[in-house]
Amino acid sequence: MIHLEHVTKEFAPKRGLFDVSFSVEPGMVFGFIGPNGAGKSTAIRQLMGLIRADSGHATIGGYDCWNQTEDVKRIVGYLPGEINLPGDFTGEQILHLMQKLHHSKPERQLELLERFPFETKTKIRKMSKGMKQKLALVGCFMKDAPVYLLDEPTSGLDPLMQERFLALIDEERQQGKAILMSSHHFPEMEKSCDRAALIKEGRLIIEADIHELVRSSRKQYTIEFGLGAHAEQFARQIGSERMQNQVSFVTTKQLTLNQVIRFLTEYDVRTIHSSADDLEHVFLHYYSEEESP
Amino acid sequence: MTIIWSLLKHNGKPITAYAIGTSLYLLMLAALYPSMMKSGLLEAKLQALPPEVLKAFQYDKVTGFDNVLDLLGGNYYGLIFQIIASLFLLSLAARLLARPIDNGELILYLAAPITRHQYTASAMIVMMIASTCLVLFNTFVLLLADWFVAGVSIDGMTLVRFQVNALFLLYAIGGFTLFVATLFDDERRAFSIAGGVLVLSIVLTIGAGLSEKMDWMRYGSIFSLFNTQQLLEGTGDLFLHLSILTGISLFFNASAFLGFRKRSLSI
Repeated sequence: MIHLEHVTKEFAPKRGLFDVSFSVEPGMVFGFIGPNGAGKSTAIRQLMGLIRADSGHATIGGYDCWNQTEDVKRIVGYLPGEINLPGDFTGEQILHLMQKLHHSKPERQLELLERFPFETKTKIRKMSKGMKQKLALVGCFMKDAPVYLLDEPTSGLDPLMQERFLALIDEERQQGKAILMSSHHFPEMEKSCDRAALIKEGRLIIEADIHELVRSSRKQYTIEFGLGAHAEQFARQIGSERMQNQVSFVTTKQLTLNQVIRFLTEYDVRTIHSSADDLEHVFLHYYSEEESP
Repeated sequence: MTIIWSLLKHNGKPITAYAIGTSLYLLMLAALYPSMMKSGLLEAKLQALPPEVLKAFQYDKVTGFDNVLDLLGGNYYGLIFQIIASLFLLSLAARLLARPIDNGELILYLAAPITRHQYTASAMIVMMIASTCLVLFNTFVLLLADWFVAGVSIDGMTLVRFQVNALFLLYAIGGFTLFVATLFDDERRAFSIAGGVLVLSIVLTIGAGLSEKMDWMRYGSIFSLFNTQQLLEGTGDLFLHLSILTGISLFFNASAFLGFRKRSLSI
């Protein structure tokens, strides 16, 4: 449904997109992960027909994203990364305008407003970031489009709204929608995405099934012992070093978590702490690997 | 239609403010005209001013003021109208294109299944509606003055010449400011470049009035196509001026369409 084929758009060296290819099929949620300035928004703008590629090809539903932008936007619901709307308008006026521009159904708007409630009579300039985000979410999803492009969709949302958003994404996926979303929020990406791509300096570092990514990750743990001697002994066992009563290590094929648990049964363990979420760890792993010479 | 209606709603206040503000000024001048003429105050004031200043404001009348339009030709349409028109269209083009591009508000429209041509056409139509409103309000108050203010009589043909020429001038400046607004991501840059060209035009108009030797400067300015003296006298080639203004308007509006279609937008 969504296809990027060898798309390059260079703004400056290492800034832009370089030979980026990926596909998102119906019924799939595709996560686009990367730090600020990595090229996530540029790729999404490319798909929205806002930016013309230097080379390569971007299509949605078979329509060329630059030359057939009207057809593309007819089947796409878009949530921009920065919610900038005319400050003089109220939320109600914006939704009414979007409804007319996108030819969407009022019933769907009401249903979405129940999920993401906010005071619609408030003027945009008086709205908090969270309110604006909810307004943008309602505006985007009320289109009931077969494709969604979501740039940082949960930015500014409270945990309850984030959960509701994830539930909505799951429903949309089950209805066969193709969803591309960029985010820094790793737990939400792990929960919602089927596939993910990591992008750095405009290049895709890896693209894979999200469960495969998490499975292949080498996770870091920190264990706090009741006694320094125990920490010392455990550190020797796994070939690591202790920091006071704590020992940190990374699981590998040679040192599996099961092995470590067997060792730990002999010691007085106070806490076990996993250093990062699985996907975040994958992300950090690939980034640090790329940075090392 | 949805886009046009929304843009008009969003920009209605400044459009109305300019239209009402200029109209009230015209009405005030028209209302004061009879008493100014009776007291001889106007003639005395004009005689006290240097001829260069009078020429800059396009006061060329040596035979006195027979009509309120003679007064308005110098006091409003001579220079003030050009300055107000420039500010009005600069700020409107910025609000319709340069600012929404700069702050990303344009995505509200461009995320919908509409083309950039459709948005540019809507912005162009809004600018034309705004220009027409300004001229219609101005015309309406002058007609009111003609009907209801004692001692004020306005020649219909002269008024039509003035307003039609003013309208075409606004369309041409509007086309230019819209074109510049499509070129940049930065609102201030678009505003300063278009503003710079229009200020230069005004300076050339004023400079042309300073001496006979500098008269050539007038032709470097778009405002030479709105010559109040010729409009008052019914001399000069109004149709030529209107044709050139139409050409300028078409050229810049077409350029705005082409330029905006090809641009990459970081919104």
